[in-house]
Amino acid sequence: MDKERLTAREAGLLNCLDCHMLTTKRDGALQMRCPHCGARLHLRKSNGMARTWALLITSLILLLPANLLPIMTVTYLGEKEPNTIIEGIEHFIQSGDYFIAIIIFFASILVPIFKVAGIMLIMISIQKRWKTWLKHRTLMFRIIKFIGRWSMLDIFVIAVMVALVNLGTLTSITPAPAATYFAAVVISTILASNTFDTRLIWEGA
Amino acid sequence: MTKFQLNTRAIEPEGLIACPECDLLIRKAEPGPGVKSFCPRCRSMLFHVKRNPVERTLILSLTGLIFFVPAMVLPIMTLNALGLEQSANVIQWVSALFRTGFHMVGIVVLLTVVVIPLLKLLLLFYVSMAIRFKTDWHNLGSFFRFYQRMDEWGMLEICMLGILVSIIKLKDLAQISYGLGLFCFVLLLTITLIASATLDEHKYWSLIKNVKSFNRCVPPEAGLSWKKEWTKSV
Repeated sequence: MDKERLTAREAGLLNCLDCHMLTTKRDGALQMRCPHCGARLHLRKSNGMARTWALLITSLILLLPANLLPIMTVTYLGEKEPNTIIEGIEHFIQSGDYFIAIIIFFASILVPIFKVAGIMLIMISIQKRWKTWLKHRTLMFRIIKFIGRWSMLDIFVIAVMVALVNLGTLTSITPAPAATYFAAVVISTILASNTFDTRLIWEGA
Repeated sequence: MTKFQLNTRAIEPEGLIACPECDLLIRKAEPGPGVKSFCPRCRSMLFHVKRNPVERTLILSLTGLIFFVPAMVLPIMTLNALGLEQSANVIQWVSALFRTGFHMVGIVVLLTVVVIPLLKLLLLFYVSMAIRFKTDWHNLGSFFRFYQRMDEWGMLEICMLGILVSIIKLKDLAQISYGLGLFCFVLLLTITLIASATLDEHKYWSLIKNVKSFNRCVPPEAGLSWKKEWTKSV
């Protein structure tokens, strides 16, 4: 045992993800609570793979309307101009704000797509029982989890603009259907990374 | 050594911790303040011991609560175009989304910018107060757990970036003047970020355990099954 690495599962211990205390697993107990903090204990997050897949597929489906439909409508002197996310980025490039264009492009387009693709890759690697790149896959997941929340940026931009640009007949901005879909994409990807259990990456190896 | 043998071996959890990301068992060390320790296998951070975490978090959460209401109610910025003026605070952002019929988006903004940041500060203040003054308050463990779960859903910093992006978007369209609300919002955001940086979750859990009242929220038969103990039929 000295050289061999032992995991909590192999030692018959349950790790409480809330208070980080270990508890000995009782034989046959269906559901245990942490004696230190009262949280429900699971050997692995319950139905981790199935839930994560379901949420990932949901966000993949929602990504289509979020990117293809207009996300906000700019009305200027009675003329309505609906804008999709990509058209919004084009406006920034045309007006020379490259830095903002890059930020929006990252937060609204690259991050959601990479997040879904990245978690899917990790899930497939677990199901195919790949035994390599363990550390890198864990690191990749950590990065995905960290940057995922920042996709919410576009929703806040819309919230600020809609409230502020409301100058009667002159000009106004209203949200368009993609805003709802986009918020749903971000929420379901955050939930997907929460239901995923990184310990599964190390399980097969 | 096979897994079967390992299973039969009684390993006491005392003095051990398991990595939350790769499940590796590691001997618990008691590092000094400021020390970070990482899992030797997957390099996830296990501990980051902070200096005076309770006092600092208590003060910061109280300061955050003071700035919370002004940050939400005072106007963030005002837009001027051709003599027309429009100013908005955070609450008006939400009501504008509701007015235009985007209730779901409105609820998401309301939760991530108003409700959850407020809840986080209140929970931190409550738990820190109870720990600091060792008082008999209810449900400390549940409240702290709720804080941990809420943590990533408070999105003040992302909202701040959203404000910056919209300032750049609007600067050509009209004249923008900044309100006192923006100042309070930046302060609230900074304080919230520092508060979650000074918070030491491990320390908090061990202190919560020490507070006497804590026994109340754990049933006496803790560690057993909570519904019914089933035994395997051999």
